[in-house]
Amino acid sequence: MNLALLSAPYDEDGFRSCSVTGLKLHRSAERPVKLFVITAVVAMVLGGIAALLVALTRWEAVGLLPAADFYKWLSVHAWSLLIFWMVFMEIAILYVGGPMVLGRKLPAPKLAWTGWSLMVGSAGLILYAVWVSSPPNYQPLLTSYAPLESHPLFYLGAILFILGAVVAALPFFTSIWQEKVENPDRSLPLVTFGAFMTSIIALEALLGGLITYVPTFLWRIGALESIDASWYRQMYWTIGHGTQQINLVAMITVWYFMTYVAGGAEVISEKVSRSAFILYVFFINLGAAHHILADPVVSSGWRMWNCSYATYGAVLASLIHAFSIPAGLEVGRRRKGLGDGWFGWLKSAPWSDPGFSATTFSIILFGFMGGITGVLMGQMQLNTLRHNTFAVPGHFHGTVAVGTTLAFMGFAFYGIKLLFRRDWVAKWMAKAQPFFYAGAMGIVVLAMMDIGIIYGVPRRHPSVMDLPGTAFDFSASAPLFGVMGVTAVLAVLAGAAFVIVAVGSLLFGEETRPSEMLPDYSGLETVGTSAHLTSMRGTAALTAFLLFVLGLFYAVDWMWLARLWEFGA
Amino acid sequence: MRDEKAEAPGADSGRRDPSDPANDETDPGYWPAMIVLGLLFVVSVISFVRSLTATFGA
Amino acid sequence: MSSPIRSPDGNWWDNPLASTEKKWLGASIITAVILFGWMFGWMHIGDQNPTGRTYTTSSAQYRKQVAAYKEKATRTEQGLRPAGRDVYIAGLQFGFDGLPVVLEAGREYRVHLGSYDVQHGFSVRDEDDLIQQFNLQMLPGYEWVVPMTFDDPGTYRVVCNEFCGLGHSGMQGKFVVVEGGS
Repeated sequence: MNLALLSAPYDEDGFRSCSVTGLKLHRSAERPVKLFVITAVVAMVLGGIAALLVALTRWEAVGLLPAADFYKWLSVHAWSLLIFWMVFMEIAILYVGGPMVLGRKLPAPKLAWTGWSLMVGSAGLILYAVWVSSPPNYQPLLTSYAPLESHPLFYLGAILFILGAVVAALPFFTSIWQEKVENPDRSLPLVTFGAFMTSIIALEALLGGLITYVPTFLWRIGALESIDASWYRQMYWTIGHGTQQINLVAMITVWYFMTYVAGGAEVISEKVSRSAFILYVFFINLGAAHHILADPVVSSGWRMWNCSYATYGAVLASLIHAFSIPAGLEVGRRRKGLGDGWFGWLKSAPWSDPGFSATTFSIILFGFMGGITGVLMGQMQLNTLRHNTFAVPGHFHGTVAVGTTLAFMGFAFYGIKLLFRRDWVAKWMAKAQPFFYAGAMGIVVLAMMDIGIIYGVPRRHPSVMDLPGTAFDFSASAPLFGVMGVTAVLAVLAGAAFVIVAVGSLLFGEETRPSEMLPDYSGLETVGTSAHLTSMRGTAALTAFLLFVLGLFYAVDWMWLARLWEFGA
Repeated sequence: MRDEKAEAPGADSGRRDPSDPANDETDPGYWPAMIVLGLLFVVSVISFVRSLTATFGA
Repeated sequence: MSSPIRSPDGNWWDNPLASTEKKWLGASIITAVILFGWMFGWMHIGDQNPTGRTYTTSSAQYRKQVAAYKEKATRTEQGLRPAGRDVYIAGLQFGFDGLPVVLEAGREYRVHLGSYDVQHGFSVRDEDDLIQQFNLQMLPGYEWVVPMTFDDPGTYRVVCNEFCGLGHSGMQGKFVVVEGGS
């Protein structure tokens, strides 16, 4: 067993040079990154166990848990994966994208450890509160919609987790500040710029979270007399969806990084990619309103303006990256002579490399499954068809459980080699894992969408096949729940495979130089013309297909809406 | 980018040497990837057809 | 070549764009405009919009309104027959006050949605055609009046699809739509 988890050959100043990326890395940045990544994976394990229990309950042929336990494990599942797995990884991504890519020391490393401790402690508090909750405390699930009360320690834990994340992000902000002070005429690298935009969006979201949870906590302990349900919904979703925007922009930053290191991609237009990130910062937090489209109180004018998320900036930004990233891969590979014709660049790409395959499955499946469903459901009128049905978890498992999770898994696979400098154990498992996970989880998502669209099955129910007091039920959807249940179990196994490879490699992997383990594109000569004159026809075909699918489902959704009875002023 | 000459990776490193001029060949993982994506595509089409028959059919 | 982990050199802002990329940007902008325009247009030409006036109220006040409405309504075997065009529905832990109700096909009703306690979901489907369903939110402290017209006679099942406590999965109701003039 190779227990030297946290060792590496640093010089007297604490720097080492990465033989793959050429980056100058300081141990003050690398050490917290390792800790945050490991913590994220621990959260993922807990969330995966919860996923199994939840899936085996909603698959009512198994019907594992009674209602009270179902809601408990659903809350554990939501917080462990959507919040803890994501946010711990994102702090790691900030430190990589910031000080590590810039070749700087991490400023104020004590804040990194303090932030981590606060985040871990408060995560424990949240999970404890969920675990011990019983009436009059109801399970928060993810959203803890007031006035349904949850355990006071839950709200306190949420507040402290937010503060912990802000503290952990401070060294990143400081490193950007220091870089700009020292090198005012140098632009940040694109990955650093993406991380910086992620952190700005994160601050907006986290601030919204404090504005939400502090008054709610005060109401829960009796210091405030009442809390308005509509106010809570508006404020909650600034952090509720804000955190998802963080996931999105962090994932896109990882895509740029991974397609470059694993696939030999280039940046085809710094201007366009950076402008797209700026669009996100301006428009994305208005988008939280797509959670309250089926609500009273908010005017249609306000909803349509905020629904701009589905139309102006954020979708536009996503469509831009949807082109720029595959185009970067296509141009980068064409210019290295790695494939011609329409898709030679994609065929020759290192699909056997789990870093590459995880990233590429993430890009494709996020776009087609998560992105399209998000654009549709976030539309003011179409939302009425989908609000609180099973199509909603279908959508966000497409974005987060398939898209962002695969990207972070690929990033972690490479982190094992680049950061921990260990080779992968069970290489056949490492190579197969992204395929297995993408396939299984992808079918889970499609089953969920079907269940929500065709049968209108509600979410957040432990059982729908036998409703008390009526002969009516949703048993027509039972076969689809069977499909969902089986593939969910497979997806959890695929997640376990990732953990086995990751943990196994950290403990038992051979310590080797990354240059012996990873692709080397530097030795290849540039062929052909400059980037903007190189063909992007493969990407054009793929993105045209994406737009076609979006248009097709858009039209079909409006057809469904128009067939409904009439409603509305 | 590299500070030393990279040796060819081990036989099961999961990666062919990109300096190998034959490397514009189709990667062994490509067809399995297309199978996974093809499977998801087929399931999507089935799902889509089902939703339309539920709307207009029996 | 431009690497995402290196600072870009020189005046990268003025680097030329590929023509394919420019076409894609154009297509994306057109897509965004269509998405917005269609939403805006549907508000005026479409028959399905999640809109209606909201009034602030309280649990006690809404209870009184619903009770008064039920007083004036006719009790039938299938459910309440509203006296006029107003239909009152309230979500509560764990049921729908005001349901079951009998409505006439093709007639526009002012449906009042509210809650006596916590947030509830108002999820309605045609029991013979589950794909036809819609979902609105019921919030305590607010009365939302949404005009609705049901054209097809039949039975419509209502479930709550917002977590409201441990009896949530038992929270269901129905309304029956009968031929007009009967």
